[in-house]
Amino acid sequence: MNNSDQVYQQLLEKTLDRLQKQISDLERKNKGLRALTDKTAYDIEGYKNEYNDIVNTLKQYQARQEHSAIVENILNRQDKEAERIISKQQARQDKINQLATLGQQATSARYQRKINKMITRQQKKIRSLNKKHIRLNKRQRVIMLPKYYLTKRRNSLLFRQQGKVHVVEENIKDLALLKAHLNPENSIIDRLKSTIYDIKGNHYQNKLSRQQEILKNMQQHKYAVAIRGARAVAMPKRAIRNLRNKFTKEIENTKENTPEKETVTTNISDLLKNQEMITQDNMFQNINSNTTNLIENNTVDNDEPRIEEVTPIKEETAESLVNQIAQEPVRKEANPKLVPVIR
Amino acid sequence: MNNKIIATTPDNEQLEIEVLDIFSVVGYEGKDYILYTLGEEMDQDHERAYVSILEEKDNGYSLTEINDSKEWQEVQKAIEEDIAMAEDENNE
Repeated sequence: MNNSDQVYQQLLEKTLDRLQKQISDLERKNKGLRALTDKTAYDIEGYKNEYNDIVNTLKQYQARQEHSAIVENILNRQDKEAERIISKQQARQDKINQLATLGQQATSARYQRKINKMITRQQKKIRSLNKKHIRLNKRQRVIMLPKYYLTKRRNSLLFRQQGKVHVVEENIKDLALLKAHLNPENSIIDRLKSTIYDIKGNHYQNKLSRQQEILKNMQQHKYAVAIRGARAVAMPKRAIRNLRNKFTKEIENTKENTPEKETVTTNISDLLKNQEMITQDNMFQNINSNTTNLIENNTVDNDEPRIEEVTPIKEETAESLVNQIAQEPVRKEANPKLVPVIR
Repeated sequence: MNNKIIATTPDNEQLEIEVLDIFSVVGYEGKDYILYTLGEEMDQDHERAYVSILEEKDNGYSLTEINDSKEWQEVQKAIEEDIAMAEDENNE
């Protein structure tokens, strides 16, 4: 580097240092000034608050002064009123005394009665003035002791509310007792109901046992089952399915798979409709109202039933079976009976 | 235990019948009634069923016709009640 460059560089460096120094000084000063400004602002704020406090205090003081002036005026007025009342009372009393004296001196009874009436009237007026005085005293007391009377009034309201709460609490207790008294567990009627249900349940259980017993007997080969007559009915398939399920459930005492649930849109009367009259000839031969004849014609021996080859109903349809029976020679009755269906 | 039994007609024909219900009726205590079917379809929605008085004999049972009209009315009511009860149980 040559001399001129060196000098130039030194010049620049010096300038930079100087500027740096000035910046630092100014920043320091600025910081100080800012702090001063902030402090001043705080002071100003503080003074303002103090000023406002004093203004409020002054206002309250003035209000109190005014209030006390007003109160003073009222009390003064009331004092004057009280003095007036007292003087009136005194005047009336003096008058009574005078009238009493006159009454003592009176000779005429009529005159005495008149004086007595006047005395009574004066006494009445004195009593009225007395009541007025008492009311005035009460008003003055309230003005002089506002806090005391305010507290008294608040306490009276509080006590009244507490009384109401107490009454409501007692009512709640009474209701709780009533509820316990009406508790179904303690009710005689419900105990009676449970007894009746127990009896019904036992009866139902006996019925189920009987069904089971009968079916079991009928299924045993030593018991013959003879069809002598029947009434035919047309039933919805759903009803038959439900009955089948119910019956098999009852006799087996086990749960079966329930069929798919169908929406029940019909009531009981709708379930049993489509009345149809069918003739006995189609199904049962020789069925008439005279069962004795039927029993006589019964070919099933009493000793031992003839159990021939069973016609399996699963293999043949019911209809073909009926036709088979119908095609066989029959002994037709004179008046075959119609078998109605359930309405 | 299934609900099918073998019964004999007056012509000595043996049929397998399916028992749907064995029940009694108020007012006719001491009598049993039987509701059964042979699986005969009447139409798409209906099937034929039969109702008889179930009488117990010395060595078997006899299914006889209900002749009394009043009795028949009561039996019909009983069957309707059983159907309703079965419907309720099925819906539970």
